[in-house]
This record gives sequence, C-alpha cells and structure tokens, in this order.
Amino acid sequence: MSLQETILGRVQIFFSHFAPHVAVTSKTKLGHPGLDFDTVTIQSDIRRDLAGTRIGFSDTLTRDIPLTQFGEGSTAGDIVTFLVDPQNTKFPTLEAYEAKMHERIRLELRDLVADLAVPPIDPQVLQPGAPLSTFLPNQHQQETLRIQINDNLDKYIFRRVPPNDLLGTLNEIEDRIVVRTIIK
Amino acid sequence: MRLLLILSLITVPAVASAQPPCPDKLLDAADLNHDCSISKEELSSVLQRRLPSALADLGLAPILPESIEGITNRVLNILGPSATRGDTVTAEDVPKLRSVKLYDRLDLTVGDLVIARGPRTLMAPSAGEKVLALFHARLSALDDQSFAKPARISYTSFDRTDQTRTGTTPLSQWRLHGALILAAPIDLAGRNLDKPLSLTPIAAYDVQIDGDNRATDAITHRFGTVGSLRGGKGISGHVFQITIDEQTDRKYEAAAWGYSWYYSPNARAVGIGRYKQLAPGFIVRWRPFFGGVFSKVHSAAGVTSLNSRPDYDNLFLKVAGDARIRERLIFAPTVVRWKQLQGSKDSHWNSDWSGRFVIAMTPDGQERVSLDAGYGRGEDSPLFRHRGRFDLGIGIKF
Repeated sequence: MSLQETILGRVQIFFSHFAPHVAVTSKTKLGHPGLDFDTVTIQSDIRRDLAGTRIGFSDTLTRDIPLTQFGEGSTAGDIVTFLVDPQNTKFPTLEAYEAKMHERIRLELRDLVADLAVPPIDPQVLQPGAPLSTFLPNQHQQETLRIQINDNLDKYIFRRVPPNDLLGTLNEIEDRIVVRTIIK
Repeated sequence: MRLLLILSLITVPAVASAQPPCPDKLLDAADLNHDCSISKEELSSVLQRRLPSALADLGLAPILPESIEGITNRVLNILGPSATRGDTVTAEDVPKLRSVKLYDRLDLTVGDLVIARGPRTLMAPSAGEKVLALFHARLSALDDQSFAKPARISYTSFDRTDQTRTGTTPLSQWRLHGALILAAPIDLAGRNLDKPLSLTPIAAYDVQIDGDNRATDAITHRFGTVGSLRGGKGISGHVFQITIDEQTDRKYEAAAWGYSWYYSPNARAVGIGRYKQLAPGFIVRWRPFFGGVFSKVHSAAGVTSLNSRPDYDNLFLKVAGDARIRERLIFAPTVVRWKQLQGSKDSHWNSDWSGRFVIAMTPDGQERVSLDAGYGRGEDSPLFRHRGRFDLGIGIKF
C-alpha cells in the first residue's frame, strides 16, 4: 500500500498545479463533481502533463498514456493504479522507488552544492561523507541551497525541506530529504 | 524487470562459459542446476560492462563510475574466494548472492528484488507485448459507442417454420462486424526533456459485412491523428483531430472519400475545459470547436448507403457548454454555425438546447428523479433540412 500512497501523494502535488483548492483523495473524480475537467482536457492537457517531465511521471512511466485511458468518470485512484502497474512503471515496489529517490536526490544535492560553492567544485570530486559546511560555509549559501532543493524537487517532496535538514554530511542530508519523498 | 536485468547480468557469462551450461534463471535459487558454474572473471567483466545500462533501465542513471565499481565489488566480495569451488560461482553462492546490496545505505538486496518481483506475469512487457498493446479489436472504429464494444462474428439460422422471418431475410446468414485499430500514443520531446506535443496516430480497418449481400457492405480504411500541443498561460493547450476515411465494399468496386478535422483550445481560466464558478452555486464550462467535414462518392457500385450519400464540403464553428445552478438545474446548449463550401455555399444555424431539473437526489449527489426538456432548431449538415422539435420527459433512476 505504501507505494500507492506515495504515488497518490505525487498525484496530489500534480493536481495542485491545476486545482490548488481541491483536496484530492483517491476517490476524487477527474470530471464533475471533483476536479471538474471535461473529457477533451483530460485526454489532452492532463494526459500530456501526466506523462511529462515538469510535474508529471516521465521518470517512472515505461510507456505513454493511451488516449482514452482516463475520462471524466476516472478518479485520482485510477491514475495511481495505472502509475503503479508493473506493466507501466520502472519502480513497481516502494524499495525500488526509494532507491530511485536516493539517486535523484543525491545527484541534485551534489550538483547544487558543487554549483553554489565558491569557487565552484567539480561535482565528480564531491565527497558525500563530508559535512555540508565544508563546501557551503555560510548561512546564505545554505539557505539558497534549501530554496533550490525545494524548487527543483517540488514534484517529489511532500513536506518542504526546513533549515534543520541541512545539518551534517551530504549523505545524512540526502537521507533526510528522501524521507520527505516517501510515505511508509 | 529488475530481476530480468539482474538475471541477464548473471546468465550471459554462464552461457559463454566452458563449464556445464547454467539454466537461464540462475538467480532463481530453486531452479539452479547444481552442476553449473561460472568463472568469476567472466562474471566480473560482464557486471562491469553491463551494469551501467542495467541501472539506466532501472531509472537510476546517471551514475558515477565509482558507484558502478562499488556495486560490482560488493557482488564479487560476497561471492569471494572459496576453497571448495575455486574461482567459480556455483549453487552454493546463491544465498550469499541474495544478500548483495545494490546500494550501501539502502536495504535493497538482490534477494529483495527476487522476492519483490513476484511471479513472471508481473514483469514489464516485452517489446512484442508493447506493440500488441497498441492494437485494438472493436465493433467499429467510427464512433465512440461502438469502439467500446467487442468485434463480432456471428452466424444466424432460421427454421423453415419460423414465422418471424420477413421475406427478404435469408434462412441463414453470417455477419462480420469489427475493426482492427492501431492507436499509438507518441509524446514528442521538446526542450528540457518535457513533451510539448502529444500525438495519437490512428489507423483502422473497419469491416461491416452481412452475409452475401454486398449492397450493405461498409469497409472503411481510416487514418488520422489526435493531438494536443502545450500552450501558454491563457490558452493552456491546443487540441486537434484529423481523420481521413475511404469507404468501399468487399470487391473494392465502390469508392467514397471523406475527411473531418477540428481544433479546440483549452483555456481553463475562462471555463473552457473546466467548470468555472461565476457566482456561489453557479458553475459554467464550455468549449468551442472549429472544423470541417468533407465527403465525396466517386462510385457507389450498388452499395445502398453510398447511393443515398450526398457530396459535401462544410466548415463549422460549434460552441457547446453547460451550466449548473446548485446542482439542481443543468442547462446544456450547443450552437453550430455551418458554412457550405460546395453547392449553394449558404450558411446555416443549428442549435440544441437541453435542460434538466433534478427533482430528487441522494445526499451524495446521485440523481433519482429529474425533469428533462430539450429544444432543437435549425439546419444540420449534410442535408440542411429545417428542423424544429421540443422534447419533455421525466427521468427516474433507482
């Protein structure tokens, strides 16, 4: 169930871009009453963005979403069912999804830290076991890092990263952020 | 899929080895042939060579070279030297192999992957299965209702004593009503790996044949695409559809061509595609369509439906919408403006106005009793005969 709940969380983040005032649950309909979209919008904008990179699931899907897969009578739970179906996803278990999150966050953290360091560091030589303060010693740099992590990973993170999460080594920071992307 | 990938990492050297051949699924411990073995060097080199692409397939790419090396070393360390078996990997290694971690700080082992994968039926589809999934066999490709029903091949035989059979109905008749449809969604990548254009090309072979009577044949070849293009802030998307049909009969003597197309924008800010609240309890959504329809019969060749089909080439602008007042009163008008491009080149209006008042509903919004009314007036394509009708009814649903 945890993988379904985690993906439902991402589906909720996805629909918050279209309907921020609607509290989406697994039973929320895409049509009326619910998210209130019509069939054409569901089969065009919603379907395309679901399979897209910016707010969608291009990172997990193994295939594009068929035209008539979802309609006005479909629910957010139907989308989750499609997204976690082993036929459609690269990550059919929570463990695999968590491994993917570790890798995604490790790379994001590594690149951001290397970029924000003064002078910039080659990301390849960044030591994940070293404290963040080794590379970003001042508060301003760390706050910039926090904002950029929250922005760049916003489709994955269920609770925004607070300043306290950035204490310790890069490995420890990565673990804390991963916890914010998984519902167990 | 992950098991398959891990298996593929392990099994290839087994096949290449001079040792007795291993079964295909070396990692399925129960299936391991105790006589088979793999050279550790072969295993090492294959892991090094294939891990990057395997991890990429798992969605874990890009990965640093040292990470690949780390995973490879973990596998080799677990399978470390053994006095009994020398420099080979055998069945006795399997328990150790199961405990190999893919990531140091994550409890994800090869064994977990084996268990998590479950039965083979849960594996990701092969390329062949993916291609097959693009094809549909349905009752017809030409309308949405028939698309939802299965293709049908039937045989009917009447007794000679049957008195319900009319004079023109044959004693026995076979029917073939079905369509083979290819609908392949293709998302075309744009900048920053996002996909601004989504296309669903459609190709269909639609057959509607009743026995030996060629006059009722309708064999249609349909090609087209449904697409949507990402828009900007105001118009969030552009939707379009184009279909081209060629209709003929079983002998390919008849020939009729037609095409249809439309364009419609998505603009949720102004209620196009999504309900917009104009006042408390009053929501509205609507959608404009601009398009065209064309048909020309080159040769009817005795096919009844083509004998009576007119040639036409018409453009249309259609606006359809619906408004809801406190979920009780629903009003759904559709207005179409037609412009003939052939013949008289006249313009025509056609409109349908339907309304529903929900008299009784359940607390969760299910309608029980409603009063329905509809009014249609105007001239509709392709014949543009004047129409005017009013309907009134009561709907009851328990």
